[in-house]
Amino acid sequence: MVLTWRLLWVALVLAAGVVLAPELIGWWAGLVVVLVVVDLLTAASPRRVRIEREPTRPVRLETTTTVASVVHNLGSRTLRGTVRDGWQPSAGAANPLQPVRIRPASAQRIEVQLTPRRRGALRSAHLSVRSLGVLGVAGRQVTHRVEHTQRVMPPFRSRKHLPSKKQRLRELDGASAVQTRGAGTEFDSLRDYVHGDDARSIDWRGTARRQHLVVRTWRPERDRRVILCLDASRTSAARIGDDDDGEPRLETGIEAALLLGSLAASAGDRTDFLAFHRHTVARVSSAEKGDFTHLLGERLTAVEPALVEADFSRLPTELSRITSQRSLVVLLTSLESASVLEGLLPVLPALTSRHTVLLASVQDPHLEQLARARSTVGEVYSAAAAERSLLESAVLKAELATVGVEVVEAGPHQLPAALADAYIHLKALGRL
Amino acid sequence: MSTSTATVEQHTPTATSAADMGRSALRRGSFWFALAVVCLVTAVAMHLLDDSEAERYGLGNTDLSGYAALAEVLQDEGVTLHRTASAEQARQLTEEHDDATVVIMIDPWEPEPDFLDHLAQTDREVIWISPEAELLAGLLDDVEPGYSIPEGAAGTAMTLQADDCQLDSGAAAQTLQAPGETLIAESGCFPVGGDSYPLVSTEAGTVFSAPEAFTNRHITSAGNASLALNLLTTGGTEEIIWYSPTPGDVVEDQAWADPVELLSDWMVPLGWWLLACGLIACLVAGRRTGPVVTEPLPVQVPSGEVALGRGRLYQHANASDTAARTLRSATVLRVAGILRLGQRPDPEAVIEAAHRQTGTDRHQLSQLLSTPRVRTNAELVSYARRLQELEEDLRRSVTGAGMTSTDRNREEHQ
Repeated sequence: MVLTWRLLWVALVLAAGVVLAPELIGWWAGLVVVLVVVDLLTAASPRRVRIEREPTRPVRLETTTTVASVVHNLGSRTLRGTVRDGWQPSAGAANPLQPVRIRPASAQRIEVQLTPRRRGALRSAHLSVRSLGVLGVAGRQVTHRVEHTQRVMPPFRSRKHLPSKKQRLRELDGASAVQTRGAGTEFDSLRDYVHGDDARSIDWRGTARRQHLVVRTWRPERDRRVILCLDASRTSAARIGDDDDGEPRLETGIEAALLLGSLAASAGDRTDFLAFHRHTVARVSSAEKGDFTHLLGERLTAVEPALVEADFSRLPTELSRITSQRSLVVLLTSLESASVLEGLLPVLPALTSRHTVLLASVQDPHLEQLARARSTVGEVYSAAAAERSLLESAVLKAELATVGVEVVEAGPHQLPAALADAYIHLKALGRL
Repeated sequence: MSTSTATVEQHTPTATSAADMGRSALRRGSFWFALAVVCLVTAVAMHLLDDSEAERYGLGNTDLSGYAALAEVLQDEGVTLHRTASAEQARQLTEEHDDATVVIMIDPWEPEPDFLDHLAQTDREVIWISPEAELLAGLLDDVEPGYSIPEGAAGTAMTLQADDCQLDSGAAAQTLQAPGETLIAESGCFPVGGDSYPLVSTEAGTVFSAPEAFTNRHITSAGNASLALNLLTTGGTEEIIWYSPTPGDVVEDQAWADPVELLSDWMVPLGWWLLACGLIACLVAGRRTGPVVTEPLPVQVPSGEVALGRGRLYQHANASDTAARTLRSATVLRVAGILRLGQRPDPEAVIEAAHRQTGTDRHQLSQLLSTPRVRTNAELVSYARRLQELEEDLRRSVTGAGMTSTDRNREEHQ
């Protein structure tokens, strides 16, 4: 049973009756009870409804979407009252509570505006129906456990870099040097020789026809393989930056993976993605049907940091399952000494022998701030600890370089663009 | 039929945040609030538990102005004291104890006239005690207010002699020393200025107008104790009815009406009705639309935790030496970077290059960059600052030099 504010107003109005005829207080109270009973008896059954949740499409974070549910009245009376859609707080439901008036054997569509504040599968576990009687002073309420899910994809804020990076890739056309000789290089066009061109690229036959020096130009290699490996283990749960604009390493990794994946796929490279901690948690390939960026976004919705140590030892097997071809392997992880020294370093030779390995890691600006603050004893000790962390990561970088791994390290907002630049650079060098 | 609902009731974010703010303010102030409540409860409890009497001339009052000493002595003498504050009770007591002495302590409320009439009809011993001579004169016909008992040089009251006193108690005491007032009467004890006495015998009973004499402060002075005992146990009585009137006695019983009777008929039912309305409001406001929705929170760890924690461990262990060496290594590496000395620089080369760049003394640089000797925290802080200053100096001088060389190039081009 539920009572409404209207009952309170009615009771307050009847207070005037109590003043005028105080001896009839029992009758006044009886009147209120009668009103409530009448309403309870005339209210449509909130149990005799069918809730139908309309399927949702995944949306990007920071966008607003509308989700709909249809409430069918199966009873014989008109259902008046309210329904409440139980979206979790981070779904940002603007209007979860809505009035309804549904005639018997008819239905009403409930549209709720969501502005999600978190990536992932956001849920509404139930829909509560409150049915009021003809007077609107009392009614009944039932909660229907019918689940609704809205998948929220990563925001892909770094897509603003995509046009400029694509442009730079296009500029590589015709400027690329080719390391592999003979078959496999892709002939693009002939152009006039300019001072500085490699003498070996002069096309003598063309030169003979045109009476001046002509050189062959080459397109950057296409159909190379790029494999993005996203570490979703405990180190990815670390939140970098302040509370307002800070984000966990995993989110930055996802941004970088989205930008590089989109760029590589648009450049014509076969791109694969896998997220892992103890095991693989998500996998996407550009060979699959559909837009790679969209697929990647969709599969990444469910990836969350897990408080386990990453198992790098399975990485070579996983990669060989994807391809036997030489590829660019991009590891999106963190330069934390314990996890890298014990997990990654032993595996790296197996990787670098077959692939070009690029390690991308988010740099923590907070560490440098800590290392600079030296006014109190506590701060100096913290500075020493921060310096030690920085030294360790510098040593790690040097060690990785000796194994033949390139390291891209940048702040949380710069990493996606820096990684894309590194990819373009490798492509320009023809090292893919 | 299906209709879409566009405008609906919704929770405004401002309302929520205001409620949140209120809640957080409550949480912040909760300690002080709890403290205030505890203090209040303690104060009330102490007040309630505190049974010591604070009333002037009270028989249970152990302060200087109380009569506790007198009461104690009287009880030791085998006298039973019946204390009462209401005339009604006093009347009952007089009926129960026929031969009891009645002491009327007038301070400052007057006794109930009916009770005085009742007393006048009996011939029992009545002792009137009051510090107000005016009040006594108003109540008794044969006395008038007299002088105050004069003070001596030191500010204490003069010692009065009994002189030719007809009252046994006065004669036995011989002297009296206490501040107070006197009454003009035909005869009495301890005369002040001829015909004014603090102890007077009247038709209605014995009247004493210097009750200060029997307080804990003055009871031991002069013959005060003797006077008190003799006065109160006159006639060899063992029962004393000690009546100290309160304002309730002055007003007639009928004047005190039940406040409920003064209200209109509808007030009480309306009160009940509004209470019921409040209950309805509670029920309405307390009913949620559906269960509470929880948020599954993701795992997140602040990134600086590890470094900060390690820093605290260093500090707890007073590892100033380790900290200094770490700071030095980091600085040497960075300085080598600034001076372009490669990834693994030789410390001597770094010192030499830094000396050339900034002109700082070699010895100082070597002390700073080779083997730090840091024992205390203060030394560590100053060492860390010196390292930082060196690095900043170098950076400034290198970038400054870089700028000038660029400028020079530009000039050459022109």
